[in-house]
Amino acid sequence: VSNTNRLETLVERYANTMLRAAAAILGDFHEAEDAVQDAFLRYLEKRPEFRDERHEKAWLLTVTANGCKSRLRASKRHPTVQLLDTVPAPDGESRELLEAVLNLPANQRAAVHLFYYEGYTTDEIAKILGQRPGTVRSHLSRAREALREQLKENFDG
Amino acid sequence: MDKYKKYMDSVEASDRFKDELKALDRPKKPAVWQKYGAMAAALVLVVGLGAMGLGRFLPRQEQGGPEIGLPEVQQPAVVPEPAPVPAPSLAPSIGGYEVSNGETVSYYMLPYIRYGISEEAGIMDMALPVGVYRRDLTQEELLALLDGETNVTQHLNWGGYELSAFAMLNRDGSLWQLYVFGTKGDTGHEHFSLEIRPGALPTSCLVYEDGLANEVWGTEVTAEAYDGEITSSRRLSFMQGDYGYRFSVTGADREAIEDIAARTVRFFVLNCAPYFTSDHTGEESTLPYDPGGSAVQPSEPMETVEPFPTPPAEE
Repeated sequence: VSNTNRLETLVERYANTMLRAAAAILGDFHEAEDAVQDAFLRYLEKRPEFRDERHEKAWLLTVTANGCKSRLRASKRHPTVQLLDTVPAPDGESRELLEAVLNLPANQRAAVHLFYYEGYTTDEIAKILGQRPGTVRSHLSRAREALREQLKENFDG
Repeated sequence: MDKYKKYMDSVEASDRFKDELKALDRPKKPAVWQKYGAMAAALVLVVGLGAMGLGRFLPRQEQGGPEIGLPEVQQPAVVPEPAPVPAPSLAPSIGGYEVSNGETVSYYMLPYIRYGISEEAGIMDMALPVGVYRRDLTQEELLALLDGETNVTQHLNWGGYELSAFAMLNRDGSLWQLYVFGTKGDTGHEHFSLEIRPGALPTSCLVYEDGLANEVWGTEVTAEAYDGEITSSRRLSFMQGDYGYRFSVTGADREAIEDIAARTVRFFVLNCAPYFTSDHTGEESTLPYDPGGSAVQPSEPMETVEPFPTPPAEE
């Protein structure tokens, strides 16, 4: 497989996965696109050998997550466009939930997305995000608690 | 979370964006020596302190420092290249190495370390405590601290490097920080440094942008990396026992330097620095359980040494 074909395969296979993860972490669609592009550039630079598709996906998600962390530091200096303004939620109830998720700290958003959307275990998420499994479990626990509180407030109010 | 999943399903890369991604080309990096000139300068500063210039700033024996009874100039230890060993058969992400004693072959598993890749590194001022002075280590002392040449060549894979070391000692003769340097070839691209400090991570003037925390057999190891056009650098920092360690290695072969880094962290995590303990008793040291599957046994009885003798009181 030539390098060009390999890249095309990876883009078709993982661009959406990476874009969703980046969007969840960054909360900004256009920033997420840039993060995905950076991740593919990193792939071209390193050309790593993957054991299998699972390893391939985890590597790309790891690079994407690392890029998002760098972008979050930079975004403190630059205003971002909310993801929901670019990709609207289908209804009001969904929007409340999504706003609540996007209001979580970035490390909690990352853990929530990889756990609930990608279906990774906490150990796998720890490897992708470069954190301890206990830290990931703590992020998930705090995220659940915060979502419960926030959504309860919204519904009660 | 069904609504979240449903929403995320609707977040998709457009065809235009995918086409842009498919058209990406390998990025060109800025000249590494321009970008990292400051880093190189800092390294020269540290190495220079150790190799030649420190005596101008710190008290040495002839300048009134404590008498430690060592020769002034030490010749670096040149360690021969180890004999090639068969490539490990495990997956490349874990890997290991084999050591043969002529009769049996032992396999040692290496930890899988994930590095945070930094695009930038910063320089921080580093100040030495007042009264700290330098003491060069002889070749014999250095090899004794590492429990002999077998460990150096077969376990640490430092074979072929020209080694030198010195200790920065406090006024009372206790260790402030130990430095071990290795250089290979004449390109200036292949080198490493190991710093060991009691009670804290060694001080460093280099600050990497991104590091990843790894758990290596119960020890948290921070792994940092930078990949340049010509060389790559890997740095591992961790606390083990009463000591902090920082190992930095640079070279043109990324896999080779990651192998050396993994071997070094494995060696010191498992050995708990028996030769650096402040309450060194001289009892025979034993190496702890090796998760790699094979117990690491020293090839010959360990020599008990007093690494940093307290200098006699000044009169």
